[in-house]
Amino acid sequence: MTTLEFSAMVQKYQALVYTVCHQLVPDAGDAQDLTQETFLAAWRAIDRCPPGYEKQWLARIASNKAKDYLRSAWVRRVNTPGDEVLALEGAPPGSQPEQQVLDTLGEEELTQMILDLREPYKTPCRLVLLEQHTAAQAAQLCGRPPKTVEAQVYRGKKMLAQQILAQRENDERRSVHGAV
Amino acid sequence: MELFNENGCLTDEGLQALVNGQLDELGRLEAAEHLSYCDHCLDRYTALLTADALEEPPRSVHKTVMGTIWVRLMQNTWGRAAVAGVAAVLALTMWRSGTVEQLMGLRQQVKSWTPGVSQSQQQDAEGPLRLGRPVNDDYQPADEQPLGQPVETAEPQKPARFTDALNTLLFGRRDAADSTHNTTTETTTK
Repeated sequence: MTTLEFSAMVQKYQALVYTVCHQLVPDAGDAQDLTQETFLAAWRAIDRCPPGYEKQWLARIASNKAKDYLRSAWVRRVNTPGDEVLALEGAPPGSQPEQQVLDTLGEEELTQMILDLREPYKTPCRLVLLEQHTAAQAAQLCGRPPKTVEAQVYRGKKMLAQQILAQRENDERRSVHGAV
Repeated sequence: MELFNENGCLTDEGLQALVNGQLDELGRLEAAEHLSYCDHCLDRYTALLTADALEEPPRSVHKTVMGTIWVRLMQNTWGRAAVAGVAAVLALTMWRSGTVEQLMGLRQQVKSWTPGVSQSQQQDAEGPLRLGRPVNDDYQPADEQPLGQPVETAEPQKPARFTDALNTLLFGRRDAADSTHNTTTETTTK
């Protein structure tokens, strides 16, 4: 594709790419930046663009850019100081707080909680946490990219840990009320 | 609202919520992750993005993107050509203006100032270059002759210094090798 043809493609699809970015990232300035990054990435990989599927191809690049942006923003915000709250006393030092919480649970209870997770977390967590597959194997089994599976297992563990802690708080409240 | 169905794909209402901007941050992250690998859902999603659903960016992206691409193209292609061109012009200018001759003259001048190099120093300097060469490197092969004929040399080959030293070391005297050679030639003539 020549530079002129690519220029025409940018003109034609800039609204589409911006819409995808803006629907995934609500901030207009960030969406604008992501739109530019999408087109620059598209130019670098223009040889891989399937003819006739420019719309889908650009939408995929845009969603990838938005995913990277959202993932880093989510990780930045979620991994703030205060996560140590999840850590339990007596757990081995150095292990992840959510893993410490999961380790305190019985096998049956944990299995049921993992199977009750919603998609897209249920399948990768079942494969990795219950069936002991590696992230790469799980990615192959469920047809998702390995990085996505790793991120989903990580977030799934956090969800499970939060559920367990919430459940414990409820139990404590009930026991206090019962004693009163 | 269920964003994903049991197969792990986006539901219709999930896609509609995405288009309408009703998803929270985690929902948007999950949708973006899914759209980045699922062709089926990407087709469904782009089908929803009809002309009336599209938003125009606040500033046109076209100018910025094409400007960046032009700069990169210039850096990659023309940048190298420009450097090569400048180098060629500089070399030509130096040659035409006589700077090269001046430099050569300067070099000769510097050479004349330095003390002469002795023969032993020259040999030392050439030492590493001589390594690996055959001992009899002054041997000139005769003209091409048909195979099977004895090679006749006009006069015995002058042995190299190293051969002399080796003969002296092995046989105690220098003509040991020559005498054996002579006896063998005598027997063959008889």
